[in-house]
Amino acid sequence: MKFLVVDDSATMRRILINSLQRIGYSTCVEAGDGAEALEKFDPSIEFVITDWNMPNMSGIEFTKALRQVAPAVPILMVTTRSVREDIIAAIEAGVNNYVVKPFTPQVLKEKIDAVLAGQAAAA
Amino acid sequence: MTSRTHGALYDSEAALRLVDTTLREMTGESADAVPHATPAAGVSIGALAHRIEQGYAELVQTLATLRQTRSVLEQSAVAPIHVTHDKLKQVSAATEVAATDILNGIDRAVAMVDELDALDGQDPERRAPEVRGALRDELFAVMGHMQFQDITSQQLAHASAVLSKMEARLVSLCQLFDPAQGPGSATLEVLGAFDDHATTSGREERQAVADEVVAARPATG
Repeated sequence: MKFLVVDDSATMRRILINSLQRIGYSTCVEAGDGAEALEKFDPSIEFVITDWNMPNMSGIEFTKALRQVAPAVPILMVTTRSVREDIIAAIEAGVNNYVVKPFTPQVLKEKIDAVLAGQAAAA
Repeated sequence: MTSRTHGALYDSEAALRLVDTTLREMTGESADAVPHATPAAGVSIGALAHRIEQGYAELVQTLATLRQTRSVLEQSAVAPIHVTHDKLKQVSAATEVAATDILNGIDRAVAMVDELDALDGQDPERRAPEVRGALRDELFAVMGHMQFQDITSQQLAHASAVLSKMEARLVSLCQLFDPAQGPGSATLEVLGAFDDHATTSGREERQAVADEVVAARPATG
């Protein structure tokens, strides 16, 4: 499965990619903000993990834009933002699940599995 | 800069000018006169008392407007300084916790390497694979602790945004005190995008809120 990992922090991208590799997903494309992610997105990408607070284009703006071209691709938001209203806004923008930073690999795996299970059930 | 700030500073300056004019009139000075000039001989006691009363009223008004100015300065500088201080305290605490977690993880990892050394060539219970697995988990957990860098970066970016805003306000304030100097310019740049509430604390509780919202509102995408 090919992942697109979007975060303005190079440290976070590295931690996310290492976490994905550890749970069995080794193919990752990375982007530093929403605008770069939109440029790099292509139909071969099967799962998107995005941060919220990024320069140029935030994770919410990116999610809304991506939903216009890829309504079904799974999107997992991984962010420090944990105010209830923010989480609701993210879900309404189109993210499938939500992980609060700092995260553990177990939580990341749980949420990826939950999204994939939801997609499989809907298919 | 608020209209209240402009008003308070304008009133302060106007009141000070009136007091200055009154005092100069009392002493018979012109604007160009040297200090300590001899009082004008023609000023009567009654007129002098009236001028002193007038001057006193102006001083009271000036003090009131200076108090207002102080309140404006407090809003412009003191509150942002407290916000910045709080953010720096959070950064300090987060780095302390992360450093402790990382050091503890490294200690445990070193102990496991020692255990593997001891098992080398004499491992009747075949514990080595288990220890190696635990060592990998430990090293991976150490990497996870590095997430503090992203969170503290956001806290510092927040502090830099507050300082940048404060600099702009103080530059405007300075210009009001000395308009002849022309408009100054704020130069601080905000460090990056940030979450006002970014924190390393309460991860499980915050994830529970997210899980609750996600469970209640299934995604539409």
